[in-house]
Amino acid sequence: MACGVGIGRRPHVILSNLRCVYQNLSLENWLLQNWNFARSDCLLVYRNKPCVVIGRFQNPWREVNVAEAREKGIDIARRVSGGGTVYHDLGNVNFSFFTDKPSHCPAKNLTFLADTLNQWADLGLKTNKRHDMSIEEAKVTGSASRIIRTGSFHHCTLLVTSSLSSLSSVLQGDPYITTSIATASVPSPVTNLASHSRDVILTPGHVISHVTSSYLARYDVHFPEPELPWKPEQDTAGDVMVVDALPESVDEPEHKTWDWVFGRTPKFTRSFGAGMEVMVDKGVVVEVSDRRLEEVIGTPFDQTTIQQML
Amino acid sequence: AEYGKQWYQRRVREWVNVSGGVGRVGITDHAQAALGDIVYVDLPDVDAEFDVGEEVSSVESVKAVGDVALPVSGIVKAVNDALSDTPTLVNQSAEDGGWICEIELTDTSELDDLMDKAAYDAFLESE
Repeated sequence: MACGVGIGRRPHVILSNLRCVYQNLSLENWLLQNWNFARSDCLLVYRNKPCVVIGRFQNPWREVNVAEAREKGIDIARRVSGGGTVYHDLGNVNFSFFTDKPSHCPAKNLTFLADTLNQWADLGLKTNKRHDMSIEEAKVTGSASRIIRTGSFHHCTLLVTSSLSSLSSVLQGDPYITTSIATASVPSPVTNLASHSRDVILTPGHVISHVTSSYLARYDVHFPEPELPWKPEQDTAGDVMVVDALPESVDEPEHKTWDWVFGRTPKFTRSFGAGMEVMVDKGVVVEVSDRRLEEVIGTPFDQTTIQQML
Repeated sequence: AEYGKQWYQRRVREWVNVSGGVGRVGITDHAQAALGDIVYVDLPDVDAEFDVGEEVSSVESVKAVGDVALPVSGIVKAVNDALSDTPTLVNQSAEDGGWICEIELTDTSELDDLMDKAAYDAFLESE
């Protein structure tokens, strides 16, 4: 597997001005399905207003306090790549490196980010085999990848000025989920880039600017017009395109549906005490241990409703 | 189980083992090694029908979420439930106990496009 920048390939940068996680994830997945990987690579950059993003095969009820997230208007999203649960807000930046399969190399992307940021702001960033980037022992990134027949992306979230403590209670999942085959999150200490910069003022905007310029500079082939899988609304010049609205082909973000966020949850069992439990598959109650709960069979899992019945 | 003839796709990711009109499908040892430790296998629904090349399963490894495509068209008749508790079975025994699903082949002529074990082994040697 080649880990160098492809010869004769050209880069594109797509800057999303969308701030809704469902829209950004839909755009990212749509690019994966429609990008012309034979001709060029792409770097997609996006930021989301406060939300929680779970991995492809995770259990949202186990990772998040769903009721509290709803109350606080914090979106819960499921991405198509794997890994654990992360919190996004406007203080963290998401970079999605699109390449063809042979060029898929998260290690190279992280080294690129570390080198770019270290040269600019002297941060002492280090990368490891698990595709983490850290300052001393605290992580500043979380990485995951998605590979399909025709191409791939490696994406990572970079903590710049994120509110690290504000959502700690929302990230307390349901402790009564007793059996679950979903993939688990591995908690680790995290830190923001901004707290480690001595001379340079780090903001998400500055980071994006530096990283995208540096990304484009790695390639020696550039064309005046980007080749995009959709016709942009306004004229675009060079290799950087700003997205203010989803392309028409992406109608309603599929990532917003209940079916995707909750209905893709692997089988699990939730205990209600005194030996009572319900088994949930694809987000729907399929089995109950007590006759009093029979009427919830076939309905979407809702812990509050069931609790009230007992 | 009775093992029939094992067929491999030219892109060396999946295999189908055919006995009568039923095929057992899985990923190759080569593919599992490239994926790394597997942490989740998304099994298809029984009775779901897929065309050759269509994604029948998703697999999450420590490195990425990837797809498993059917090497021949078919209808899912059974899935390997053991993979729910032990997804690493695919790493340990990709071409045997780590099978993913069983399908009823809808077009056995598609086997003509695949390699048999001898051809597959020769193909791997030449890589």
